[in-house]
Amino acid sequence: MSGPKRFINDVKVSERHGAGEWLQERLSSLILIPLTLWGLWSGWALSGAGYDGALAWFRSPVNATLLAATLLISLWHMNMGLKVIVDDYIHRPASRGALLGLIGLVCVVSAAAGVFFIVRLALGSAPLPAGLGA
Amino acid sequence: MVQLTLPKGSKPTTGKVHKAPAGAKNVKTYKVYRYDPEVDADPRWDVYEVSADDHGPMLLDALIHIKNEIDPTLAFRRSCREGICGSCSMNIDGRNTLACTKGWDECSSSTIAIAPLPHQPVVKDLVTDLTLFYAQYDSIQPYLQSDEPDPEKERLQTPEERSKLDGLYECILCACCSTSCPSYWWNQTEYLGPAALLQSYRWIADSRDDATDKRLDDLEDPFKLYRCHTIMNCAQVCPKGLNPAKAIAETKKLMVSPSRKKTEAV
Repeated sequence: MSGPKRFINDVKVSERHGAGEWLQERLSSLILIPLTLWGLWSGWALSGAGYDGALAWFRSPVNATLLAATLLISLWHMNMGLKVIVDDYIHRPASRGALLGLIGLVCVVSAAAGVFFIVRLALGSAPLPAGLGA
Repeated sequence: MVQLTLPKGSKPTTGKVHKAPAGAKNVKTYKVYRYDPEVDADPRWDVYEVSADDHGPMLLDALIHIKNEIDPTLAFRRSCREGICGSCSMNIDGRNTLACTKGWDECSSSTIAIAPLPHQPVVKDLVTDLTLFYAQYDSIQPYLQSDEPDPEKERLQTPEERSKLDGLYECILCACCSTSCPSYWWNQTEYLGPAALLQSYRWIADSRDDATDKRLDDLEDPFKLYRCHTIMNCAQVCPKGLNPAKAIAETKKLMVSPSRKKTEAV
């Protein structure tokens, strides 16, 4: 076997990263505080606006941008949080890798789908492309 | 996956009951974990009824009384009997502590359970194998590393610099904190645990030590340091009243400090 040792005297050798992830977890949390409050407030304000009111709300570039930011940062934050839980409790490398891959995939697909629909609504299109759904 | 239930061969069975003699007053009941991996298939709980009038005020006094007068086969570590050697750390009444500084009258349960430190290999009864715990302590290089040549006399510190070591240097390495930490239970082969991390910060915080950046480099790892999720069991059980979680939080702050000079891995 070549490469640096992973363990010396049964104690792990530092991977020299972790502080960046730690900072990202805290940074995303901080950004999400105002964004989540804004999201809740918007949802409450939209509750009586009806279908046309909701479509009009999405056409505002500010609303669409903030909503996309909330979605992306939430998924980023969720991905990091779930990774911590998986790292804590799942010890078999294959299971851990597979689960982290699956979580990453769900986050990326959710982000892509979310941004796709937000952009469509912001541009004034119907939520679904023609021929799909009602 | 972590083991949420005890595996076969680890579930304690009901053991012997050592009754108090007739007419004994002020009787306390102790339920003590017994296991000799060389001869026992399963661990067991032995029950000892002891008159508190027959021994001193501490749990360790009760254990020594049991070993001397009732059952010499009981194994436990003890030395200083005054909370400075850290030998008699064990799980008493559901909480890690030192038997020598815990009074039997402080335990609220009618039957006081005494078990070895959790999630450690049992050597016999209340004696656990702390080899990995000591290896982790050794790995943080718990000694002064200075760039200055050795002075003629002592290396001076201001009272302010010295006061930064208060709450750190008092650690007696009893392992109560590390073995009370769920993160350590699940990941002790990779997570250093609160005791080693508190000791590491004791040298990081020392004004006479010049190896701070290297110490931080050696700790920066998703598992060695960042498995601490501030559960705070460490601070809750520390028999010396220290706060390892705070030392770990300070270390995490220094990790992202602009003054840190990070060197790339070789």
